[in-house]
Amino acid sequence: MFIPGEIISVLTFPGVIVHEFAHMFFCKVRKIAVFDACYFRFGNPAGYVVHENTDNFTTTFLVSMGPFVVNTLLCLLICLPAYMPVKFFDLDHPLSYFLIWLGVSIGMHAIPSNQDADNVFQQAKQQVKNKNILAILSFPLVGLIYVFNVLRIVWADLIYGVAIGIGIPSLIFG
Amino acid sequence: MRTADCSSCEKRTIPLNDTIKVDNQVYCENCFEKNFTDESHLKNKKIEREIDPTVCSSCSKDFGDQELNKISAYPICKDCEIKIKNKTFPLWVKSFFIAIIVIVLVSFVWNWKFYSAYTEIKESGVYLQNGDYTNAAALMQSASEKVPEVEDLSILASYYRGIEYLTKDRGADALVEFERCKDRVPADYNIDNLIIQAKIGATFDAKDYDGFLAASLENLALDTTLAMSQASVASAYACLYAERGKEEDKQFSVLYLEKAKQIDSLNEELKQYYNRIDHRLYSRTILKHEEFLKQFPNGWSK
Repeated sequence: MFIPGEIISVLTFPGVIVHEFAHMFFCKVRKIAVFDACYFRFGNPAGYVVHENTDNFTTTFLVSMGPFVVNTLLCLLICLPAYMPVKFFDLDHPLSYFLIWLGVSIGMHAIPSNQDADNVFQQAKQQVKNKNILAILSFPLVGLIYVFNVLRIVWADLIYGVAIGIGIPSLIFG
Repeated sequence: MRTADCSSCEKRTIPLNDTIKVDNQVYCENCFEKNFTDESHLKNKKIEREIDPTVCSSCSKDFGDQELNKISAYPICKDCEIKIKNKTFPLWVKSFFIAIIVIVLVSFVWNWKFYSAYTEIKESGVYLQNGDYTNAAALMQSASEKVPEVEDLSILASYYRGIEYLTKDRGADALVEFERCKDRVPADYNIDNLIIQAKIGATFDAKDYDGFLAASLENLALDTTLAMSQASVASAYACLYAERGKEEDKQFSVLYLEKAKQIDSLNEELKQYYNRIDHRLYSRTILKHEEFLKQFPNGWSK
């Protein structure tokens, strides 16, 4: 079933906010100037962070890949308390359902955008000449990101969110 | 403010930020759109967007001839530089995150009972596998108290308690627990079988030897190949004989006892049981297992 991206963004808006927050967070950590930031809006893209360029590949990598770490972690943390009453004890718990929606929404926006991947790729091409290990490792990651963003059309983002929020607790607790 | 002349039209002193350089030729925006109507016209051409170093890219303030400091490629005035460098999360974003953290903490605290109950259920299962029914029952009971909305836990606690009572020869108590579980546990829990076992114990304890016999026969009907089942019927008849003195009861007792011995005459527990039945038939005295062991620690003989 095809649902326009804007509608998905509205339905999962916490994930958009956390995604942009993650970019901003790593900009702050790495002391990168941020010119503009929009955490959520009705449109495409649903959010953005405009920051200064940097030659430091680690900084570029962290800023671009930040959402993957932050969103994934938050998704797991939020869904964990909700998992047990709903999945193990089979209880209808409004708070738990809310938490699962919140967690999965955040998880759905964990994967960096193609623009984020492109930022890393462009710099990695230069850095790999300096035998930068992180740059070398980033190539397959960037490839995976591009593939994943194509697969969003078949709900890859939802599958990822559910895999993290429900799948991992299932593996832990059975 | 810096200015430039358009190389296409006659316009002079165009603000530098309003110009575009293509292959080192400066164009104003109008001429750019006129000369390059399609993207294909720009193929293989060097395109540069000039940035006036005297105009702040953030607030667009003109600083005359003064060149501003740059952040990345953008000239930024001092005031805007401070704002940009100190840019932080808006209040609503901070509030959003605080709300998420509060919700997560509250839900962890609120739902902790489920995780605690889960741990107890798992531990209870381990104790059950190891034959420690007392701890298994206690843990399952604790779990059911933590999550009263899940009735299945309370039923399981009864089931485990029933087994515990059965192992401690508290047939009447076991029967109460098993009756709670009837029709509410899966078939492989053998609840009907356990109820019969409990009835055997309960009727014996209550000195209802007719009931003892009925329950023993019901148990035997389930599986006639078990020595214990045959011995239980023999025991019931022996009790009736001890109580009423009817020879017929004695004969039936001996008959079933022989059947039991034919099936298994080696098991030590069974041999003790047979010995107790023999004593009962001989002395017409009904002793419980503990009483018999106390009186005849080395077994009884005529």
